[in-house]
Amino acid sequence: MFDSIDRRNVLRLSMGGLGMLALGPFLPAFASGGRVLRINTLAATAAVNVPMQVALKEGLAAIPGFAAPEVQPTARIPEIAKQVLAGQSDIGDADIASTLAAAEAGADVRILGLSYGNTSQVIVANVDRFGTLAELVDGGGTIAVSGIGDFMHVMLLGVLDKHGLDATKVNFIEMGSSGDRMRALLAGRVDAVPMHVEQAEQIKSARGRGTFELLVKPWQEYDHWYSAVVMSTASWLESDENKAAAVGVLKSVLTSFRRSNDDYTWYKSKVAQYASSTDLREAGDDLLMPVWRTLSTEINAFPPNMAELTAEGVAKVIPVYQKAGALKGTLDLDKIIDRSYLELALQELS
Amino acid sequence: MKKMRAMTNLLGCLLLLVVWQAAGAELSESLLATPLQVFVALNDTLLGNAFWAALGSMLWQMSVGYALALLVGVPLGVAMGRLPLVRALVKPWAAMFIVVSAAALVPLFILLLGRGVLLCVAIVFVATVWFVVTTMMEASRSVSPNLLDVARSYGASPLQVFRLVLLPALHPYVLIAARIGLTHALRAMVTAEMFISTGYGGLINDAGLDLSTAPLFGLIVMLMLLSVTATGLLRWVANRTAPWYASRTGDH
Amino acid sequence: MSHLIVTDIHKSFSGTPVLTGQSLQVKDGEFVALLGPSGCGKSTLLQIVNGLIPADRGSVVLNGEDITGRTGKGRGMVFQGSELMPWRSALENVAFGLEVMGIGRAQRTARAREYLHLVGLDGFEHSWPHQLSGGMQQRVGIARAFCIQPSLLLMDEPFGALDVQTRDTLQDELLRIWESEPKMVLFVTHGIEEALYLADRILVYSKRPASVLREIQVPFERPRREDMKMDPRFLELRREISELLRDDAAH
Ligand SMILES: Nc1ncnc2c1ncn2[C@@H]1O[C@H](COP(=O)(O)OP(=O)(O)O)[C@@H](O)[C@H]1O
Ligand SMILES: [Mg+2]
Repeated sequence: MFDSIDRRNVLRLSMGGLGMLALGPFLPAFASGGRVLRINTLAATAAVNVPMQVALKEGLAAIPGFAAPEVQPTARIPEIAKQVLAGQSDIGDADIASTLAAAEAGADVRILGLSYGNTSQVIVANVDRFGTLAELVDGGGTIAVSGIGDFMHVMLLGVLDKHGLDATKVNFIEMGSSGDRMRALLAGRVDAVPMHVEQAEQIKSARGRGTFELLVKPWQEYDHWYSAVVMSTASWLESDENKAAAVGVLKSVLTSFRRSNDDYTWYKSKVAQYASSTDLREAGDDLLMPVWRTLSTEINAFPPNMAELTAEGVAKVIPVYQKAGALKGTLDLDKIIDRSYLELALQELS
Repeated sequence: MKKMRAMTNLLGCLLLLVVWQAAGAELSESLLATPLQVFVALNDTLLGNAFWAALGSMLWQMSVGYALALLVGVPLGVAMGRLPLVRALVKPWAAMFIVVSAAALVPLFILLLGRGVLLCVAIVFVATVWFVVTTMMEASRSVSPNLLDVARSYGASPLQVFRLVLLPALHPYVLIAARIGLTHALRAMVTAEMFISTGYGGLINDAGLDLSTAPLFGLIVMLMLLSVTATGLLRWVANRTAPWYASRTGDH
Repeated sequence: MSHLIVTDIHKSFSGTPVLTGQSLQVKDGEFVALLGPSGCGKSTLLQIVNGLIPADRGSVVLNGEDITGRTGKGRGMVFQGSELMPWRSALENVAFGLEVMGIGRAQRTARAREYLHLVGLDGFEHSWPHQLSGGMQQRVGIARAFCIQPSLLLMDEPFGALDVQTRDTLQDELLRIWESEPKMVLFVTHGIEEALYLADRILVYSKRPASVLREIQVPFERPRREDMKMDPRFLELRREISELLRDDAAH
């Protein structure tokens, strides 16, 4: 057969191949009874994101009238809100910084709930180079954050400001994935990075160039640091059908939060199912138990009623964003933060 | 001669592996996994279903975009090479798009096209077609005017000139364009998938979160093997079907 | 009876006149050499006869048919660099003209085989051009031109790129083939010896714009053989033409 390959045969073969491709297996759109919501969510599922993922991938379909949603994972956090605003997604599990920034730019965003409470990201530093935050700042250390102006970056600026440290001395650089940040720290390329609590646990066992310790725990610095929120747009929320959908999503999230707090074994099984990193999926109790305890108890990452989501609460952190130059502070938070769907969800759950 | 070259190639690969192994052992697995660790991780990856499903969906979506890019890019490039009007019309587009990386286009395309098959196909198409177009444009401008004269002097009609001279003269360049395009198509496809964290790109995202770099390098090695194999195949086809060109470039 | 009549050809390239009112005729079976310094306009004239270059004025009439500005039509062209198509085997190259004419594969292959044999390339039917020597490539080029059995053969310095030995052999080959299939030939060259050895008649051209300095009826019998080049008349003619061209160049 190979002997007969000449110019004309190649032409014929490739035409045939193209034909087969054109008739290729176009994926059938799936819809099996019930509303299919398009929900945009962060691609990387850390320990703190697991309950939200369960809510989307299992919980919602269990509510009458809903089918499993079309989950739309997105690798870059700020893109999530953009895609909701563009109408590509119905609901977003977006970061609060880009959501509020979009609101300031005139978008009709609505924050309906929390994707998790507080933040699970801590600042881990190479203490061989700088033992304390003050030393790091004075020494002009480098900190990698996922994005300049995002909630982690602003949180850090707030902490520095609170301790009277000059943030302009720090060299902030952008590094997208928390895995990359972790490795950059291990390699001695940067001096400190925000990472998830479970990664902070793991890094202790890794061989790297230095000694790595927790320098900042955000939940000790702020009453509540808002990170990721369940958001949509006012126009989408106009129809009754969509209002009901928003309530359904929040019910599912709340249910998932409560179970995560109450049932370690269940939580562990869900981590094994939905966490992005193999390390985390395969983690044993020695790693996961302390992480779960920190998340559910110390941080209150899975607030059973999302009571923390209030305009007043968010208003408290707005000045930090203003100082960081990430927000102007002209927002009408009472309008943007709409707890009505949350209240309905809580009512229906009790 | 051929044996010698194969030997030196092999030696080069071995040397690379040795240096890599040494560097990896020095640096630790979380920074640079050794070839051995990568091999073990890759073995696990290849035994799982996720890898093959991801590879399959990546390959077929990429193939559609890539095939479209060739289908559109080859004639367009040839037309640009032969017809000044088409060249003047299209060249600014080519110049503009060829410098825009797929990564810069994906967010925009997601907003415009959503995140279905269409997104990946469109990204692959846009990231590939201009390389095909410019390759074919240069190729068709370089077709020997003497050979066109030969055909005309033997009374060939314009259609015959096209079929009997232009097409065969361009054949090796089509395969070159296909080769150049393929690497761009593959890269664009993975980039798009990484943005929406599905398929192979999704696997790469997830592997990047692990403390060990072995699974990540395993996926990248597979991608490189895929690219090398596919371009090698295209080169082989080129050498088989255009021996005159291969002899000119010393590829034989 | 075939006959070529070229009348009053004018041609300028961007205002520079290359040909100003050139005429010539070729009789049936006549071998005419166009001899002149390089750059004088010989190729231009030949390409006008071939139809590849449009003349500003003038006409080309072949066998009674006005073919000015048209290609094909019973003319076979041999190019300086052989100009074979690299993607065609020797046989397919020879058959090219027949393929253009729409002659079926079996028939054209058989005929091409014949002409390949005629130029002494039996056994090379399926060789690629890049596998052939320069001399062999030009043999294929000659076979390609003969294969369409034209009434007029046009050759533009066909041996110009070959080494002396190969050129001598190919000159003899050309004569042998042409003698077996006589036809009108217009042969462009700047080699005096070559023109004398091959042609029945030589048109000696001035430098640009080309005009005929002298028309020479070559007095030698055919078949021509190598020792003719030692003939005193040959040497004398060679000297005369050489002086003619030198004088023209000096003006
Ligand atoms: N396509 C062209 N455009 C402009 N000038 C040309 C072109 N072809 C030939 N010439 C010029 O015309 C003159 C005659 O060229 P040519 O016929 O090739 O000469 P030769 O007698 O050496 O074959 C030269 O001065 C050449 O530079
Ligand atoms: Mg010339």
